[in-house]
Amino acid sequence: MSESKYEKYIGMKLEPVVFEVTGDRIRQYAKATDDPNPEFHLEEDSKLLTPLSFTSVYWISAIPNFLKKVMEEGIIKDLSRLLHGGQKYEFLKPVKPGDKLELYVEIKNIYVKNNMLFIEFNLPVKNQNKEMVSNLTTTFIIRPGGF
Amino acid sequence: MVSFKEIEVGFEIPTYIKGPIKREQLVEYAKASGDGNPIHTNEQIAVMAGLKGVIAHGLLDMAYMIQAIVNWLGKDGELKSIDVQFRGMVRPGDMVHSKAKVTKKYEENGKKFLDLEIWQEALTPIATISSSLTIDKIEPPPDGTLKLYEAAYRGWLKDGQNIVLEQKKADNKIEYTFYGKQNSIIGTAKVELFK
Repeated sequence: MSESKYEKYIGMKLEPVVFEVTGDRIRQYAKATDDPNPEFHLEEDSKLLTPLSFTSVYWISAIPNFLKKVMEEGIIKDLSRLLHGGQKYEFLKPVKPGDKLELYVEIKNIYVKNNMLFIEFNLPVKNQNKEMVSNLTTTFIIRPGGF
Repeated sequence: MVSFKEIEVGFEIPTYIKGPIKREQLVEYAKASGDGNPIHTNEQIAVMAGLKGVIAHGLLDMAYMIQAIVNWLGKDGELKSIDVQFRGMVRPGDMVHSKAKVTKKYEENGKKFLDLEIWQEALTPIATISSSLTIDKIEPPPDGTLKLYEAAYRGWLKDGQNIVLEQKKADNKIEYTFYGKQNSIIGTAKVELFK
């Protein structure tokens, strides 16, 4: 497969995914990550703060759709060859229980290097008031045989 | 207190230590995060995928890296961004050390920022020798007991991987533990300081 075959996918946007933040989800996450900050474990939702790394939880909610799309398009053929190469988070506004987040996925770059396929995609995340809460960038690497 | 005035380029934040990583913890993280990839929770599938056993979620490693910075800052600042590359696998039994060093100190629009180089070391235990005698080279002392960890017989170490030795006093003996060491994460971060 030549590199140019992938060019048409650069800029491809997916339907936004909605993620609802709940206090229970934040507390469950803070416990699972053994976070020492007591403010992430408070029982009262109105006082509860959200760990910045909770970003990973809503990020994950957008991934099944993304993988389905890249499989349908034939970009990735074997998911067991997929590696998570990198992750970048820009934190713009706190997330709190009750927020409804919208994640917009857009493929930023896709190329072959050292016999591996690199897919970089960007996820701007907005809350119910259309305010940007974070901007996420991910690199997936597909090992030989997987694309 | 973390203050802009006192911090210089080259300053290293306190090493933030988590571990040993437990398998139950990976199951709990899988549920809490929604990442259901079985290579993190199912030994058989992880072996079939060529991984020689389950590995921790990269995003769990990243969570510890974020905690390291947020914990250090306390109420004196905020993490603005973090950019990581996942470089090595974290295994059950591993100790995870998250570290960061200031590479740049600057002001922008009246706000104070630091750029950090960040990295996380995964220490995979291989063997512990307990003895009342001093270890000589790598030979176990004659009265020593030897405990082997999974890494020793499951092929988790890479050729040429760094091996480090940690000494710890336990009762009237000394425990020598050999660890395979590698970076699980490398990257950069940006923080804002309030004072």
